[in-house]
Amino acid sequence: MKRGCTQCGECLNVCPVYQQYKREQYSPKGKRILMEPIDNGDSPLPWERVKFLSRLCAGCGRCKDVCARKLSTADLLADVRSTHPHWTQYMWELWISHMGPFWPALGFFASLTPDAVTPGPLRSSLAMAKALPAPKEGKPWVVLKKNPAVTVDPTPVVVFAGCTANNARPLWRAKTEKLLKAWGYTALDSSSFVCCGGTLHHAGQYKAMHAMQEKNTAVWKELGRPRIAAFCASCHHSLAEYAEKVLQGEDAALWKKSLTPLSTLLAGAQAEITPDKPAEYGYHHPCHWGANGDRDQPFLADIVPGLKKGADVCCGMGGVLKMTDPDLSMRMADACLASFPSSARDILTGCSGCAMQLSAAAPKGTSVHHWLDVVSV
Amino acid sequence: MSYATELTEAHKTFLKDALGEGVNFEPEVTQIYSSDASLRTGKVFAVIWPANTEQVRKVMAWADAECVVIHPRGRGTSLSGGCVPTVPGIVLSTLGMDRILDISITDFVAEVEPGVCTATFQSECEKLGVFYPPDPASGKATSIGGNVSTCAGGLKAVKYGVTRDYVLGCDVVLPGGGLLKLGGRTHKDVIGLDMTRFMAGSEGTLGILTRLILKLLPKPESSASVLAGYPSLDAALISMGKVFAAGILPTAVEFMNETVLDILRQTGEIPWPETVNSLLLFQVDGCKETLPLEVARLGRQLDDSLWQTQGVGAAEENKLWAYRRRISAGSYVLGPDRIGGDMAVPRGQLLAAVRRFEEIAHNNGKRLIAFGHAGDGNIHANLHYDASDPDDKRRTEKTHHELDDAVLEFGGSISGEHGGGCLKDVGRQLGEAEHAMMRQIRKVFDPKGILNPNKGY
Ligand SMILES: Cc1cc2nc3c(=O)[nH]c(=O)nc-3n(C[C@H](O)[C@H](O)[C@H](O)COP(=O)(O)OP(=O)(O)OC[C@H]3O[C@@H](n4cnc5c(N)ncnc54)[C@H](O)[C@@H]3O)c2cc1C
Ligand code: SF4
Ligand code: SF4
Repeated sequence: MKRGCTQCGECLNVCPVYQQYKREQYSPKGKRILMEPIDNGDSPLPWERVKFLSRLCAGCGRCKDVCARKLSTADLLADVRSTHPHWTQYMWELWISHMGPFWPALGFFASLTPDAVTPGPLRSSLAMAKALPAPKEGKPWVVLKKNPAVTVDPTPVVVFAGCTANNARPLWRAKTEKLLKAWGYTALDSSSFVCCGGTLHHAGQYKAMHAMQEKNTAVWKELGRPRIAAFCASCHHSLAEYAEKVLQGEDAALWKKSLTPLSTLLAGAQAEITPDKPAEYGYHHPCHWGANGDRDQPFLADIVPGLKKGADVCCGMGGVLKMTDPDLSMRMADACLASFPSSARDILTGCSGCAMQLSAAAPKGTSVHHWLDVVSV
Repeated sequence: MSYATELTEAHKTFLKDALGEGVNFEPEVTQIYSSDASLRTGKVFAVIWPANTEQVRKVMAWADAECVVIHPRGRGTSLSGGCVPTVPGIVLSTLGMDRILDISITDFVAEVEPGVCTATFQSECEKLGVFYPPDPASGKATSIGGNVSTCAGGLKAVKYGVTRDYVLGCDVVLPGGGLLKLGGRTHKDVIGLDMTRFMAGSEGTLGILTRLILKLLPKPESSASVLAGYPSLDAALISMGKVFAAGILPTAVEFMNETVLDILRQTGEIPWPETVNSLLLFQVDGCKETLPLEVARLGRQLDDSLWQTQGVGAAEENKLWAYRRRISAGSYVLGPDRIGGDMAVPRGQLLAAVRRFEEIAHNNGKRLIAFGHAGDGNIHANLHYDASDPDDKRRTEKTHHELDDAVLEFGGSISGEHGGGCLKDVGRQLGEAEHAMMRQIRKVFDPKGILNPNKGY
């Protein structure tokens, strides 16, 4: 017997989709009232009828964090999607699994389309496409050095870059490897990893997701079970789930121990600020660190003074939401950007998805970067 | 009364004209508004989200004329089925009216629309250095309109009272569309009948609250908490009695019975020794200079405890309150499903009542999880069970009903917080004449009975 939503309502305020509409039908609770019966096979309404409301989810996980029953509405949606496939899910799988190498080129063509001729609802997709080609490398704000007093764990490290970085921001991986080397870590070849599968989970494309999980864990085992350095909160979040859902026994425990945010590996860094650092900058907390798990924020606050937080609003990237409701996704990004103080026009974050989404939505005069963009070795 | 059994095309046209985007007839939307945290369900014809008092007036005039039932709804966290459509009708959601109209730091008064979220309002007050004390545990999820309609209370009720004590005035739209403007912005007002108080706790049976005028206090500068462990609930409550007798009025006093301690032991780390079987959790507040004195005074009265720890300021206090917060999720070790009671007894009867409730539970083969607001005699009497086991389910429901009977033996109330809604047989508690008078008053406000029929009293 599955125990479902108690309708306590705790998840309303934390849900970024609810915040856009302020109606219960857009809340995680509302989605569960519709989808739990679908999942149990006793719904008075067919999926076709409830799918529009059910699919308005960015997969941020905030509802699960506050739920006394730890119910994940994003996971429920993924389950229901996996049994009620829709063409957008296949498109998403195609985009993630097979189109990666073409992302920058698609972005280049999109950038030739002037904003003035873009119909409103297409703004989101086009803005995202335009954000795909990597911008020119900017000037660093801070030069990082290892503190000689800190001893480095000799266990070899492999970087998990994730599909966004691999396809659209190769500089992030290169810089990570450079940092690790400068710190004295033994960095292994990471080129065999594939996408973490998180976004395909959200889309309910379980077969493709499982294939990715199998591949990544096999690569890790072949490399001798090294530490895994992740610089993307979303990749970290979905890799963390491997310990519960993919691996078993000792391997599961070792995977859990091995998975490490890059900022943790660089702890105690000595920083030299350059003249290019703005006096103040914004920091966007990626939802996928969870409420208390963000390691990047304290790391940055330590090494780069002037950090200002926004109102901790989800960026709306949410994987497949970009395809099912790009307009909503963009409005969420706008709300997120609007929550920063006007003095912070350069915004840093530690998630590849958030960085892409927010830089696609950023108005003129605002720029958004992964923090790796502003550090140098 | 014969109510409309469906909405005609003319009805739908009226609603669309009156509310524009603020109405929805789609089954996937009405399904979401057909229940509340009681998990009972009913039939909803349409959901409406009026944006202002004028729209509410229009709808209420129409509904009265057409005999269409209206079920007001804040954020649907009622545990007593207060929002459940007992008779098929329209759900009027206040989420479209969620503005804070004014927070005055000179009058110590706020004016809000009913759909404002309680916790959001409280944090806006605190930013300005003022304090709105009513603090139901569900405050992050509730609306002020819902709190006023249920007279919600929380941890701090022992010192600061319940929602009723903070409502200075309100606008009420009556069935028929009439508008009452009750009370005002003064903290004192003895002219006429205190109709504002009628509205607090009226469970949506008299009219729709569309604006609330609320009393504020200066925000206490600091607070501290003390967690004390005892060998038994008996010892704990004797200790609490000494605190009040010494003239100390804490902000909150929570008690936990032996079963709760067992649950905490099973579900996580605990700092107290094995000999501790019952806990009291106190909070006191005040200015920075006098708070340490108050904490010391409290500590002296708790000298008969086996174990004690203190926390000063939010971060330290949170660690102590985390044990209290752990109860709800931890209780699932006693069964995956829950029925909760929220009865209240006179403070001096608390121990006898809890022991009696435990005995009733025991006689039905159940364990009673008892904790709550000791300072108000408000007992959360929860029972966990497995709904897929028919015998367990039957014994649990039987226990729950027997507890309601027992609470009356102690001169108590079958609900100290959640209200009668559509679940409680209030006739067991109310005298016949009193109950009849309440119903007559209800008729004055709502002659056709279109508001929340079969709910409340
Ligand atoms: C986990 C949990 C913990 C809880 N803890 C507490 C607690 O500590 N203390 C406590 O007192 N309660 C508690 N409750 C019960 C509930 O949260 C309160 O009764 C709360 O005040 C309801 O607010 P709401 O906005 O959800 O109102 P709703 O549930 O939407 O409505 C409650 C009642 O008020 C009526 N109503 C709502 N708005 C209006 C309006 N504007 N005009 C006229 N009638 C209206 C409705 O018809 C209904 O009868 C808890 C509930 C849950 C689920
Ligand atoms: S995962 Fe995020 S967007 Fe989706 S329902 Fe939960 S809170 Fe809302
Ligand atoms: S927090 Fe969990 S139980 Fe409560 S309404 Fe949301 S999903 Fe349901």
